[in-house]
Amino acid sequence: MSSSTEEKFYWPSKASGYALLLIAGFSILVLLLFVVGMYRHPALDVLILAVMALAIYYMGVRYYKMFMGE
Amino acid sequence: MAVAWDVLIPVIIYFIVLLVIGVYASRRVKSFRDYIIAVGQVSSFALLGTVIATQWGGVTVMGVPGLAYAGETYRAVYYASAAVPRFLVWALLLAYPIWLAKPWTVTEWFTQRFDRKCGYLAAILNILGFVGLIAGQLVAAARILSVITGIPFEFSLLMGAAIVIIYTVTAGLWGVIYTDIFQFIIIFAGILTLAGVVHATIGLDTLRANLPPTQWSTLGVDGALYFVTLFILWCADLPFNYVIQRISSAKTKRALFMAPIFGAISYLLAAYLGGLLGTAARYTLPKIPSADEAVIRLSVTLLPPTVAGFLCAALLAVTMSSADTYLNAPVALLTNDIVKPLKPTLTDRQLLALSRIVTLALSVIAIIMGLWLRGIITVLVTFLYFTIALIPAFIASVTWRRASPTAAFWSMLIGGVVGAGLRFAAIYGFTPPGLLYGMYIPAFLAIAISSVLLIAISFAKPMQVKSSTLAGGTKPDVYRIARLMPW
Repeated sequence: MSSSTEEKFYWPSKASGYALLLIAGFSILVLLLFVVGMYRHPALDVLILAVMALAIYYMGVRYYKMFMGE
Repeated sequence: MAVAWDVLIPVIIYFIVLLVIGVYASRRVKSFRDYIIAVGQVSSFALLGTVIATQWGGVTVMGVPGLAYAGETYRAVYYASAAVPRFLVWALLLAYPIWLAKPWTVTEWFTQRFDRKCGYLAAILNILGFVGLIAGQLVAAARILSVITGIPFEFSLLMGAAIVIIYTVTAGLWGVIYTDIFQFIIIFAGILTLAGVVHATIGLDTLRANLPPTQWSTLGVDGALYFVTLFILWCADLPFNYVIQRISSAKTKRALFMAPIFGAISYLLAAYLGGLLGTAARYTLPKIPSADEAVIRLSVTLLPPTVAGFLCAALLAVTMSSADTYLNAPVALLTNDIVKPLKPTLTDRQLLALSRIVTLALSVIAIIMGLWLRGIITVLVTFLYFTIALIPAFIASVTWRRASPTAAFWSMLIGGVVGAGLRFAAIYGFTPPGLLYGMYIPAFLAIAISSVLLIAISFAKPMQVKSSTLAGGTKPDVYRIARLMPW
């Protein structure tokens, strides 16, 4: 086990806090968008799904770069 | 009911392809280790396929649309969308620290981070849960087969189980991963085709105009409680052994992280499609015997027989890809964590043979349970109440250094007994009927009790840290983890 592995065995509290914030934020965002905009028109449904998917993807990439290197 | 061959032939082709993939994958299984784990060997696409195909099980494709069919589109939406934050917990918090340690099983992870007692308790709760989960998926597969083809339920259950057993016994985890990739493609092609046909032939305007306003109710406070409870139940699926197997299997850090991120995205689709297809079935087929059959009967009604056969294959794919994973994961726990320490003299070849025998034995137990219970959703959800209590200790294992082994043990044990006890009390009618006593209270109490115990005991009885360190200044707790590593 390398020394860099040892350092990263636990998340620093900043990363855990940021992760919890993102998880809570995305839960609310997904619920709101489903309640407000879904099942009204197929094109709108696709648009909302795409927005949510892209938001999760780019949030993921940002978190990855911030806390997991690269 | 006569056997519909134009529907059955695509299903038979699908089964043959699965067996061929299983035989191909078996070439990679040369040792006991290859059978139960693929540490650091699974690429991005394969990991993505196996993570999503495993999760999209009987509940996602049959239970969720069933909720919309029962009269509440948004209950289906909340059920599936609660999996989105659950996948984010996996990606953002759990994946990386566990991947660095690369445990073979959940027992090893809890043993490394806490102690042997916690490891065994996690294994027991896992095995209890897995038998129910396997049975539930096999029943789901049998329901699909028997409804579409007219084959009796009992024969359908045996046929589906036989296929899963053959490729799981032959090829172990590699068989599961390869077939999951194939099934991942079939799942999305099938479900999206049906959704496209629903939009083209029925349309949202027709559904909104012809179904009562209650169908589109967002459920207010009950909806919020339902979403939070389902999030807890989805998280209860995280400490299962198959999640550890997939985390340890990731070849790269990026693959490890992106698979659950795309899992979260896939459940946005599951929420949308579950609501849409269940609601469309309610409009098209208002009187079917069971809400769980909504999607199957909708596909038979709207699609030509051969296309319906391929969709049947897709629906089978989702249930069987979950069944194979649920079958392989407890085998690793039983052989690697329980038999191997008791009989350390067993050779690698003997352990491999034993793993295959245990797979077969578990399958037989699951088939018997499936023939006896015959229900899907209740069984699947109920068994998650065993592992709710593992959530606080599991998350603390990567985020909170102070979480102590004693605290983890009592939090898992007491929380597990309370959660599963209240759930079974509700099922057997000892508590008032309804979601409040049947789902919400057992979940909230289990998670609250296990969290409070974990925190209180960790502060009251802190972890005893060894004073010795490795040369080079390795930290004591990391030394303990390194010492217990299988490699």
